[in-house]
Amino acid sequence: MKLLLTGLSHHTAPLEVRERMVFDADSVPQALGRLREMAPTVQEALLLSTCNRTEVLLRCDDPTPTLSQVRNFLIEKSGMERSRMEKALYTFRDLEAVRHFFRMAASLDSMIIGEPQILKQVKDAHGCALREGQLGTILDGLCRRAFQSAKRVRTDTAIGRNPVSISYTACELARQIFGSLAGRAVLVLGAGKMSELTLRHLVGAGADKIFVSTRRYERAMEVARRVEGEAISFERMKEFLPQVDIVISSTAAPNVLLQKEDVTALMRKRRNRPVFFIDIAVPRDIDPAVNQVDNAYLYDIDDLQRVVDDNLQERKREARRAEEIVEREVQAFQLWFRNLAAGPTIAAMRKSMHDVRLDEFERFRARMTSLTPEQLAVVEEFGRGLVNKILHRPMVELKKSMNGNAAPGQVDLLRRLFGLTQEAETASPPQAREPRLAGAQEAPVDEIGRGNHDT
Amino acid sequence: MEIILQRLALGGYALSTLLAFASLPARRKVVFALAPIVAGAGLMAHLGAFMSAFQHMETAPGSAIRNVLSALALMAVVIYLYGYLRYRLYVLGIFMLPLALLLFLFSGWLLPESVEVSPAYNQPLLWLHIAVSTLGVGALFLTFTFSVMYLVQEKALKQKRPVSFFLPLPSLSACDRILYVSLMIGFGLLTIGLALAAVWSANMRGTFDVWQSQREILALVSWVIFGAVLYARLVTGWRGRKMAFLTIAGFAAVMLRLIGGPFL
Repeated sequence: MKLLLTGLSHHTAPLEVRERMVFDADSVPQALGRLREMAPTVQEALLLSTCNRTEVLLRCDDPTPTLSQVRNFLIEKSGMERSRMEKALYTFRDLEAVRHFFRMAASLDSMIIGEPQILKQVKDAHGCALREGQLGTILDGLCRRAFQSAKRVRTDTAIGRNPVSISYTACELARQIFGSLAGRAVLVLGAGKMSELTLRHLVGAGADKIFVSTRRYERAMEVARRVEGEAISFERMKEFLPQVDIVISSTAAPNVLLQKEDVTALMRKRRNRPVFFIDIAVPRDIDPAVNQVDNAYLYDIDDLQRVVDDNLQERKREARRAEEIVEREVQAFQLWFRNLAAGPTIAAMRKSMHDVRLDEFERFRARMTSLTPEQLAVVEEFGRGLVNKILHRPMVELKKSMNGNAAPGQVDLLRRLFGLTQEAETASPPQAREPRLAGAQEAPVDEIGRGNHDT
Repeated sequence: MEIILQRLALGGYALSTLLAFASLPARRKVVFALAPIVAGAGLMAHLGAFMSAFQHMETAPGSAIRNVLSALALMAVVIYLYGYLRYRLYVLGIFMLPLALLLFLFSGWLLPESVEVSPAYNQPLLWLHIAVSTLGVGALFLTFTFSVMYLVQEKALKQKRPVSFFLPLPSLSACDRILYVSLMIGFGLLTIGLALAAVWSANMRGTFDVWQSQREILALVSWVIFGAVLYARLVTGWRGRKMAFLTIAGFAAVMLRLIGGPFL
């Protein structure tokens, strides 16, 4: 297969190494060019760089020298000592490389398993390499299959369903209570990073009326301006409670701000419409007994953390199922890869058989001196016809395998039977051998499919 | 033919009920689609059997509680399929399908043969009473289902173990809205149904007093419960857990009145 994947990630490298290895989106094309310069034997290459990993996936003729060239490229980029980098870099070959790439795209190798950004990042890396003409049939096919498997993991497992951050969990809980948050009012008590982040999620989910109240009114004004809300004075805060559906509380108050009795009275004023308290303050701002009031829901920071932990556990369980899906897709890729060789095999087989025919014809020519040119032509015609007839069936089978519905190993077998091993090993569609001209390809084209039309 | 169709429908309902429960942990869309397909097939067979039963029915419909139950089972399956196709509300299956299966079983085997009733009873008024009441009970299916969903969801949220993260239940607010609206519709239809029954009774027997058996008293009990719940909701904004519990109690009384015949 001659695939290599090398790079580093949060599994092997600490942040101070990773941060030196980040290629921002604009510098990737240049970096790919530099890579080709340093490693001329590379035939196809893709460079993926995120804050948690930098990896190069490539196809080459001779893996051993190529690998050290590519490592040199990465070490040059980092500007760190070789020994330190060598420790952080990992390498996967062939099927292992495919498996790693598929698992990574499906977010099984991520720091937070199941996070959705990685797929987009891989897609961007693919798009960039494609535009730069660095991808041929094989890596392009590999990427597309990786996307497909990642998508399948996402739809067939619950790996990305449950939120795993406190702020987003709080938002999801609000949606469990209220459904759509459109038209819901939120009161933020006390300002802080976490409460603002939670508020942002709520606004993203549709909440559109925001009140901010802090002990210092100026601070409330400041936050309110930022989140496009309305500042209210802390003393009058309780007057606004009946109109709000969600309360995010994170004040530094040493004692409880809202007692159970307050909320019982509040529920009467609200005619029992539900209210959701998110208390992320330590010490807590809201009496835990508030949760016992009908239609009032109270989550403190520990409650939210517990939900997050449960969800992480759930993701790990789902990850096991995802691994199975990925493994199936890796097998499918392997099959596809094997059948890729079918096109060149057809040509090689035809050539080899007709060479045999011509050799034999030359050998017998001396004995056929008595034949007229017309008769000689008939003999030649006979030979060609015979070879074509014999080749017919294997050709049909090979063409079938190009559409992907052949038994695994069929192409291998044919190659072995007709003694084509060497030629077919290096055979790959011509487009893959040379980088395409940038811009020469507007839309991804399936070379194999295109090759099929004139057969 | 009718027997075959009935058996087919029964098989379809039983299988789809099993599938609805069994595929809950699977979380795959493909698996989720199995129960609705089987239920749909059961529904077709059921419709066929129902039509044919309707044609051959010679007794007055009022006595043929079996047909009412059969129609209710049909409605439960239709509600389920609609919820699935329109809102992908898969969990509806674990409520509606067992309900349909139960009603269908009672309609086919568990109730005694319908009694012969004098043709004089066969009046449009009675027909109307049955049709309106049946539709009303159909609306209450939704009330019941969403009350249970509300309680499950509410309990999970209060205990801080949100169930909905693995069981895709609608939000509390959606449950509340649907249970409220369906209860209003169901209650309205039941009220009209009761009024029609009273008028019919007055016509036939010269008295408005239709409460002549325990079963009719159950109908009255459920009507009073629903009325009280709606009154409290409209006047004091009473809602939530207690409301869900009471509507479930009211629905239990309705079901007992319908299928409790042999036991009362």
